[in-house]
Amino acid sequence: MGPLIELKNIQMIFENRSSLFAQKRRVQAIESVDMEIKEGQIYALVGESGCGKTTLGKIICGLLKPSEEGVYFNGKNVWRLRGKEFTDYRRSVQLVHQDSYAALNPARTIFQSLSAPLFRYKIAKNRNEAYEHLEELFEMVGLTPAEQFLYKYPHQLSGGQRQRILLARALSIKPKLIVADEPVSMVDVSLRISLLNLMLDMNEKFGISFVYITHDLATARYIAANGNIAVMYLGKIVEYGQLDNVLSKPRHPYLQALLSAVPIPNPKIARSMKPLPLKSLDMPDPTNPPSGCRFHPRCPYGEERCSREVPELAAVEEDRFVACHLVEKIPEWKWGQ
Amino acid sequence: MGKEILKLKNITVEFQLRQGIIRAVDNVSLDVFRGEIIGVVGESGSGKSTLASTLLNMVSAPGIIKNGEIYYQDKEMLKLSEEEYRQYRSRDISMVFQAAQNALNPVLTIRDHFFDTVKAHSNMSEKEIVDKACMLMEYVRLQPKQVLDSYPHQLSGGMRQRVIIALSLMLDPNILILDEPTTALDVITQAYIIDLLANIHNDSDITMLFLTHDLSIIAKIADRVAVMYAGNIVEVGTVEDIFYNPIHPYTSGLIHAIPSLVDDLSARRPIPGSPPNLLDLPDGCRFAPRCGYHLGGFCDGTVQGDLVEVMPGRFSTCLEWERMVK
Ligand SMILES: Nc1ncnc2c1ncn2[C@@H]1O[C@H](COP(=O)(O)OP(=O)(O)OP(=O)(O)O)[C@@H](O)[C@H]1O
Ligand SMILES: Nc1ncnc2c1ncn2[C@@H]1O[C@H](COP(=O)(O)OP(=O)(O)OP(=O)(O)O)[C@@H](O)[C@H]1O
Ligand SMILES: [Mg+2]
Ligand SMILES: [Mg+2]
Repeated sequence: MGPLIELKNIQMIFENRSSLFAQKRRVQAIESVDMEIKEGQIYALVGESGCGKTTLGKIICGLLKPSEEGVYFNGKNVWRLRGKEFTDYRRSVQLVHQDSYAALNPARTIFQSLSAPLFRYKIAKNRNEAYEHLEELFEMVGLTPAEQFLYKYPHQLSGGQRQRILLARALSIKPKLIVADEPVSMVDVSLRISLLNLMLDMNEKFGISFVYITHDLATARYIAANGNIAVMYLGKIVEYGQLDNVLSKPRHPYLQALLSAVPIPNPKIARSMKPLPLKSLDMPDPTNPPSGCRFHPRCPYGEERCSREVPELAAVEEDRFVACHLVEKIPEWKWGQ
Repeated sequence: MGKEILKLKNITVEFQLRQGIIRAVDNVSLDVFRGEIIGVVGESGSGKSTLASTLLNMVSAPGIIKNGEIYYQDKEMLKLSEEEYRQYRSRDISMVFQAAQNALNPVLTIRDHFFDTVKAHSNMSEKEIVDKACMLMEYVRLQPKQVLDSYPHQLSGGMRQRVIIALSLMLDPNILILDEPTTALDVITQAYIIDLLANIHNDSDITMLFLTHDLSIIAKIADRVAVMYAGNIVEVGTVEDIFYNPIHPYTSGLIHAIPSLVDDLSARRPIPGSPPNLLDLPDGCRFAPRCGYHLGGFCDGTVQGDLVEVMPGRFSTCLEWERMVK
């Protein structure tokens, strides 16, 4: 069976002006990304702020049209789907928005917002059925008693509560894929694991695939332990492979730096970490990205060639891809000293 | 360990809301020693920012400090007039507010921010101010030439946060309070700022109070840790005590709830239930409804314990703390 979603050479360019007379700002938010999303699999998409994670997530869900077409659902270009096929795609691929406030209609109660898709997709025939369905889901996401939340408006809830409501909404119509964009960033630390566990359960029980978008490598490791990880830098995937393999033997210098920066909740390990392997701290300006390899100005190993030639994402071993000219020369990375 | 530079005694802060009164900080006592980095860790709403603002006597309306004493170098601070207290802010006790990087005045250049901060408290000349600002900016690895005449929106979040840290050090404070100083920043910037703060601490005898919800950061930087839950401090100990042998079940729950890059994933467990609503606190122990000892029948949970020094330097509010000692 082919992949559920296939991204082929996705490009996304944003062009806008901040004011009438200002220069046009041109950001290439996504630069030639290829990816396959298979049924029942979990993918983590990680990278720093502004690297294009949300943009890619919205492209997968058909909420943003890439500058070059190239999103395929069951082998068909989603921007050419019509009628029932289009509805089927829209239902099958759900987004949990990063911005939980913008994702809910402020003038509607949570019940109004969440029951609408249940009626639309004929999962519930009447209010009572919708209520029961939602009550069960709210229990799963830890919002109990449900009636305390269902009749509130979005502004009456905390960020963490809204994130859980969005997750419940996505789960409510049993999609094939959920793209979850930072779904636990606002949730209290003590509750995060239960939401991640819930997603893992949904994956196991119903075979729902997840694309888990985050800047937090630790939660990515938790949820995608048996899945794949894609590491993005300034609009490009720089490393891709099975998560365990990638995080235990990072090959791309950017990923190595990222891993060195992640704080470890263990004083002995945290205090033995070596300094960041980076030449410069600051992210380059995305409107004027560096030539060649986009990471070269910060890379401690960079050579002349890196500023000229763009490295391709290429296989370095089975199911493991890295975009770095020097990948064979980069020293092995280890925890601590 | 040094002498106490700051002592909090039975601090209670209340907010009178339409629906009732909440005690965001409830009977909190804590000693801060000269030259240490003390971390205060707690989840959202546990009262960290309220506690921090209390130390500057700047609790936001409608909050009032209902009770308690704050001793700074043995002086009772809450007895001072507002005018007298102002003398201590920035000079003795300086604070980096939560989300401060978004609070810089958009119409002022960074240079003007330095002037404003200093002129309110000292009679340094403009040249002296600029010289010192440049020195501090180089210390936090900003290029003064480029940054001084910039407006806040021209800088990245990480650069703005470094400006704020430089600003907070302008008057050589004895105590620096940092409220979530890295929360909105990327990991690389965050790691960098934490290292920077550790360097500042090593190079001076400054005392730091570091408030955050992020235990990983505490693991990296703090000497001692106070854990807050629903307005109470529930445990105090050294960073090793807190991470390797906690003696409050909430602390232990938190440590087991956070995923990390190096742990055994199957050992991760959420804390059941959710943090209490401050308007509707459970009777007795506030943690009981989520506590394994209570739920397992080992503790009836009817009494909210006080924070007691159960072993030298180790404080816990849990009546069953002995069960947890390894
Ligand atoms: N609608 C838009 N118009 C113009 N530029 C945009 C738009 N959306 C995103 N961008 C730009 O595209 C780049 C990628 O943004 P995106 O939101 O996808 O990043 P992200 O990885 O999700 O970041 P974060 O971790 O902060 O959520 C950024 O430089 C951003 O400024
Ligand atoms: N100005 C205010 N008016 C009313 N209630 C307030 C005010 N400031 C704080 N509170 C309440 O006091 C409690 C503690 O808030 P505080 O901001 O101190 O928590 P925190 O631990 O800093 O949380 P966070 O991690 O989200 O910053 C919360 O219930 C909050 O809603
Ligand atoms: Mg995003
Ligand atoms: Mg706070």
